[in-house]
Amino acid sequence: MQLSENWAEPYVLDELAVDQRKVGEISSWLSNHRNTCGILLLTGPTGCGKTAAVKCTARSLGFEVREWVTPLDRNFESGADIGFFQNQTEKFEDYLYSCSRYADLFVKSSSTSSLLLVEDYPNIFLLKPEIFHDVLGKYCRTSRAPIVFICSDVADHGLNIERELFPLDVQGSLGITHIVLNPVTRTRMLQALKRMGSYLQSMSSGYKLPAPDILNEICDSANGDVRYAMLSLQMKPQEDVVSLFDFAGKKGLGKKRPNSLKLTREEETVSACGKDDRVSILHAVGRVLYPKWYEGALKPNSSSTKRKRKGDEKHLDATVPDARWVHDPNTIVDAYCSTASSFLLFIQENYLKTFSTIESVAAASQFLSSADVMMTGVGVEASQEMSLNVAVRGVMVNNKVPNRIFNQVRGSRHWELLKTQTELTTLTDSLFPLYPVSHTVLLTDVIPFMSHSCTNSLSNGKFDCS
Amino acid sequence: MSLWVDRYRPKSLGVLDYHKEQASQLKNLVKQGDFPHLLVYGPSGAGKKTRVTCLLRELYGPSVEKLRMESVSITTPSGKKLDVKTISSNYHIEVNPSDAGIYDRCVVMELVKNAAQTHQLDPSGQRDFKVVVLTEVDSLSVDAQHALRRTMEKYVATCRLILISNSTSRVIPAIRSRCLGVRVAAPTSDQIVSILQMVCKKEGLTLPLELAKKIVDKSERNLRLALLMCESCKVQETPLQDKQEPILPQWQVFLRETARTIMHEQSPKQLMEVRGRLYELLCHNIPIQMIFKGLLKELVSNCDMRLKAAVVEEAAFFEHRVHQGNKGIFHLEAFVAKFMCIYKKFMEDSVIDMF
Repeated sequence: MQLSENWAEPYVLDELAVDQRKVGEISSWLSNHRNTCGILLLTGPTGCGKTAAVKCTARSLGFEVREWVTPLDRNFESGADIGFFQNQTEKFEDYLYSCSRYADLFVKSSSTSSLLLVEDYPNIFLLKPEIFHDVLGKYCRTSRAPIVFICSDVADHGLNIERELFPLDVQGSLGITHIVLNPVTRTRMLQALKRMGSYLQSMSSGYKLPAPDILNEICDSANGDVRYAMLSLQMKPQEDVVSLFDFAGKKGLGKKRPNSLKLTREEETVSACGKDDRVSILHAVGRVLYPKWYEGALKPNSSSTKRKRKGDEKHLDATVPDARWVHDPNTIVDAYCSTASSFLLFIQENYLKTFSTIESVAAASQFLSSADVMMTGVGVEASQEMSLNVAVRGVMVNNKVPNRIFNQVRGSRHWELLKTQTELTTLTDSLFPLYPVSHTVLLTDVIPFMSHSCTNSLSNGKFDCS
Repeated sequence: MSLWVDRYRPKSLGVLDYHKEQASQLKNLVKQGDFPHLLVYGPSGAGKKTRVTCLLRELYGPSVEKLRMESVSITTPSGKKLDVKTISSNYHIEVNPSDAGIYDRCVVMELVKNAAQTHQLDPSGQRDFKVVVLTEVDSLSVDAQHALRRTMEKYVATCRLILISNSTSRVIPAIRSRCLGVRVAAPTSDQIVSILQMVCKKEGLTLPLELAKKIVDKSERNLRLALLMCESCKVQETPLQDKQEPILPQWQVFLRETARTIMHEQSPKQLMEVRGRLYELLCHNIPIQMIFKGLLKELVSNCDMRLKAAVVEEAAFFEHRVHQGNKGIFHLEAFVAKFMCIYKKFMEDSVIDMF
């Protein structure tokens, strides 16, 4: 079956999976800025349909979209220089200037208004955002066409293009409109999947539309990422070939227990979909601090009374042989063993609030203490992973009845502490040069009394020690 | 102006107030010309540093007191640049290796090498070796101590080491056997009383015996602390009174209150509060060992006899872990949690026993 390149891309506005209100905002902005200068910044998580939304609305309003693609400096195929060199900034400026004024020669189009689209930022701008701001300022003065910048939200601050290139003061001074798109909602995602499914069906008669529950699972695993959902729909093996690929199912056969049937099913589908289901660090900390158990782990004698409570507030006992966590600690540890030390700090800072008895705290804190010792284990391969495992399991096992109240997850004070300590040391160094005792003695013995004995000399700055 | 501690610090071996026999032995040592490496150890505030300074003066004359502070920059094998504060005169160099943290090994080696490689220009009348004084050797890592062992032997012709530590238990045997151990014991109560009275006399004050005893008691035979307390008493009230209470450093009072908080209630919420207080102490650079010690002392004094052994055992366990790990608060908190747990159980049991 042969599919066109952009077979899944929505063509008309109704097909867009993006929220209608946001689409309305974009199209009203576009129609307000026809043939005048204007900058729109569009942000949102990956795969929420930013580009598709712009292209669709532009098409419906009769704009011609002209996208910037950062050119290669050299002709790699022939291995030779392409003659003269023009730097990326100049090329980008050229693009902005010419595209906003002159219509494309190669496109026969009745509409005269064009729309510039930038999704691909030349590297120089990422290194030196000031240059980019200059270029934008120039653009505002000279151009006659609107421009749209698209940035994906990234969790990592270091990679966040939006923060670097479009700081708030620049947004204010250049009059940049900022529209934030949210992840695609479940209903809209399902609609889009159905549309694509029917399209695939029309292309090849052998294609069977996946069952609704599979569509639901794809939606779940996609986390509002339409592009990903589309790919997994396309890749989803057909019912009859499933058995060939279903490794997860085979693995589950040996140890399947009646109460964990649901779990194996879930595991299968997630692994079949293959989405990297790594959660954010705060989310993972939450999973450790509020451990959830499966029904089977319920204490037999107390189950009748406890069931009256809310579903996730059951009293659980790790000693029951069938006890299982909803979130496998192994997965959590695997995901964070590269940043084990900071994850450990997060757990330590926040675990206290979720515990209800001091006995469990004592047990958990001993595990954390062991974890810290293991973390510094020198020469032991994988000591970080082991240490994190000890900490995560220690906290999860001991927290039998978590306090299910909302607590903000706080960052650890460890680094802050180190910083204050060094600052204090340098301060004492500068205040008491040549003083014949060490810092610790100075701070624990001498200074506390000095504040009693001679406050004035401390406030005067330098202390005479001779 | 300066503190009494500094003003009345003895400057030569002849005028030291106690351990006079040892002082004369040190003098003889210097007279004989040759001089081994020294390991000076003793509790805090016993006068180790004073004794070493006197010794240096005996060796090189008064010009050794012209000190200057230098920041030596050292490149570690991993390429990190470190600045280490040193105090030096023409004849000696003093450094606190614990400033360099985990890089103490390179710092020690580099400094000893530097000091040893520069020969004395004018050997007439002067010693033909320099002295490197390392303070707080207890916190020197085992790695650094092993490195020191080799360096000590190699440069013995041009360089002598004086190591200062609180106890020899953290110094590896290899180093201990290469040094002449000089134990500076804490002065006795009577010695402190007489020193305090002598200092007060020089200041034109009279120190009532009652108050002097109180100060000695509170200072735990730490002469530095005793002198500082005495001076703060003077600021508090002159002339000095019998009934006056010597004041403790703020952090000790704070630590005492923390212990009281722990005894008051045993719950995760209370532990949260205690954690805040512990962070506060750590932020003021109070060493974690001292927090452990102070806390334990307060807690144990309020405990039933049966609990004491268990509590001390826990404290020893977690204090050891502080040295193994690198985030002290983890272990401190674990100890407090453990104590709360033990204490709560004991209280509950005793309530049951009553009925």
